[in-house]
Amino acid sequence: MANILIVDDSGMSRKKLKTILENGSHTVVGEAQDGLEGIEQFKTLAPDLVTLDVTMPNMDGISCLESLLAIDEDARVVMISALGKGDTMLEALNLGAANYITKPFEAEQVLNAISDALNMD
Amino acid sequence: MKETIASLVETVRVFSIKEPGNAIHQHFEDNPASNGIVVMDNDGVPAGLVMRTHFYQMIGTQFGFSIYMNRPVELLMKRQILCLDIELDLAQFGFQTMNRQEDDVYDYVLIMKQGIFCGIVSISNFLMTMSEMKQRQIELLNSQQKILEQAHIQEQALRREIEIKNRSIKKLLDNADQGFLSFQQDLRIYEEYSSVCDDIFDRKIAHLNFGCLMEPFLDEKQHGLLINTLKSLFRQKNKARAKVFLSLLPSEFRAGNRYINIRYKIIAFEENRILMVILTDITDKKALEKKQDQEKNNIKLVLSAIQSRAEIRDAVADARRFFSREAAGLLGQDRPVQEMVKDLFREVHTMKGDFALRQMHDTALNLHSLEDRLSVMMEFPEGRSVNRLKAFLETICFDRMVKKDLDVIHDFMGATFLESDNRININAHRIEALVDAVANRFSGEDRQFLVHHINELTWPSLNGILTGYNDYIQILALKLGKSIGGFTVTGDNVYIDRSRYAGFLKTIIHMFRNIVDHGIEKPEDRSEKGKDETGRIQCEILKQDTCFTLTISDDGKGIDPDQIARIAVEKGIYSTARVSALSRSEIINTIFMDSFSTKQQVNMLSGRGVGLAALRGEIEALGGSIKVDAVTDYGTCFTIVLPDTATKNSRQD
Repeated sequence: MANILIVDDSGMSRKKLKTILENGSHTVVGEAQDGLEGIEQFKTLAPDLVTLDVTMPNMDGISCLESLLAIDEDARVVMISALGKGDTMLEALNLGAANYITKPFEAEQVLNAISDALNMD
Repeated sequence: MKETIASLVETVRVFSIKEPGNAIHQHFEDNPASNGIVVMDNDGVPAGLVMRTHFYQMIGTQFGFSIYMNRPVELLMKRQILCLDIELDLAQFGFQTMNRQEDDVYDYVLIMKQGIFCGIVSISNFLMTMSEMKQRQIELLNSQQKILEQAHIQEQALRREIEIKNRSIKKLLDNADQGFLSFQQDLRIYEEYSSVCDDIFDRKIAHLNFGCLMEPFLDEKQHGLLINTLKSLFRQKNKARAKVFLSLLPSEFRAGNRYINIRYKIIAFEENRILMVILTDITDKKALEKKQDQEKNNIKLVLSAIQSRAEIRDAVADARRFFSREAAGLLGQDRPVQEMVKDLFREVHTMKGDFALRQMHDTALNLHSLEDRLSVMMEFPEGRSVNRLKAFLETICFDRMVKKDLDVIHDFMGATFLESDNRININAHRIEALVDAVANRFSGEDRQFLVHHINELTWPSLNGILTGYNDYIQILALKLGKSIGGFTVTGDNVYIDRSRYAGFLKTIIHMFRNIVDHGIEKPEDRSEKGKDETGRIQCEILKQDTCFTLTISDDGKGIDPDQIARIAVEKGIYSTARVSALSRSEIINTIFMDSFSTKQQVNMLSGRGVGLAALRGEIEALGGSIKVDAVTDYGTCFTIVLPDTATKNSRQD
């Protein structure tokens, strides 16, 4: 289906996401622990889609999102929020994030958000 | 388009001012259609005008013929002429010509083209043309009217059709249980919405701004998010992307006592985007969920109570003590009021956490609202005096805060659940199995010690057994017309091997019977003596090294040694000489002797004289002892000493 890059500082979250995505027949091509690492991997791996945690050390999700879109304005980014729905998610969507998921997430929710993001334009 | 007079210009016969009148006459005779001529001066500029009717009027006057016929025309021509430019439009032309003197109104109008005379316009021709034009205009108007009329009919039909459609849609909407409303980017709600909406918002909502409409139902943050999300949603060109914003909009709100679920749908409408809002009343569903949650919480609370009974009991007792005593102590100190409030707040906050942990959510919720009130006081300390804080504290009733949760525990577990001891229920078979296992694994003294102690777990508490006599005492007291308060057992806890102490446990009832029957007086007798009408029984167990002492006392009339001595002699227990040699104590302990009864007549309850003797027999058989002490009108005290089976067993077995 799609090649996906996971950017999340929590190992547990990455593991859970990876399992869900692979069960949904996607390929996880890379895992990054913070925004900076995420940008590097995005450049080299050119994934179809990025899942991006909002709260991370070094570079937070919003800044990372801006950088990713600066590199590729058509980048498909799905935000992962532990802050629930709110102003931060509105900001992310306005900046150009394709969709978002709130933590704690379930498989169905994740796969729906990702397929919506992939079929967006 | 501007219509000029150019098309009306006719040529006309021109005469020089020197021509004689008969030349004009000749012209009119030869040209009956000519109604006038123009007279030019020597420079070729129009100097006058001769109209046929005017010419013959002048000729027809007395001497007119002789005056004008052979003399130059300039004598009879009209010098008042109207010269107009060919570019003049018809309306202006009409206005100017009709504005002439009444006599001149029908005179030719001279037309100039770039300052040079080029012809005339006759008024009859002008009027004819005008009326023809009017006719054409009227015809045009008529045909336009016809077209308009037809269009109007069509429009009416269309409008009716739309109206019917709208009405049927509205009817559909109105009959749905849901509220439907919609708006565009300006957030103004369309007139077409279902009547359920009026119901939900308690007002007519047509043309209102959706953001303003929702404001009272959302907190500031939610409302801000709603407004900003709607802005983004309408701005977003891509429909799929716009759809993602929908999930940021509020999905539920509370209107009065009703819970309303909101769903949103984007509808494309020509160039514009319409947002449809679907409102569903979910109050009933919510109430059911709440009830289910409540039941779930109750079960959790009961489970928590079973698991941590002592902790809950202590937490309740601590909180009760805090509000009734310790809180007031906090206020007694000489410090700023604000700090006192802060301390109170901290205590209440900790307490809240404690109760929440124990699943006592209603209590926690009540403490939470108290915490809210305290935090308001912390923020606005003005006007807070210690006295007002004290008064505030006095309004707090912890028992009321904890009541609902305690009621749940009591309903499920019985009213005394929290008050009773920590108990666990273990199946007797498991203990037997444990004894077997221990017996197999250990030997000698260890085995005896362990088996004994495990068995001891199954022994009942003497305290519990004695407390159980309360009911019996009450029934007995009622029968005898006495009032006796309930007693508790104080002192140490003693567990006894029921099989070994069976005889004692069976006969101790005689002692209680004796106290009720002989010890405690009737209420009227008690009040005569200045005592409380209700008699009291006290019971205490004290553990010693290898035995325990059980004292049971009452505040009754005591034992009269003289009466005992007399009866003892009467019954032949002692001789008169022997009785007088006995101490007071020895005499009153006669009541434990076989066949003694102080009652004159044997009654059903006590007095057969066997009860206390039987008790003494059982006690002595166990290797114990019983004695009685009494002070007249102050009370009686039975002291029973028994070997502690626990220690006895461990040594003897």
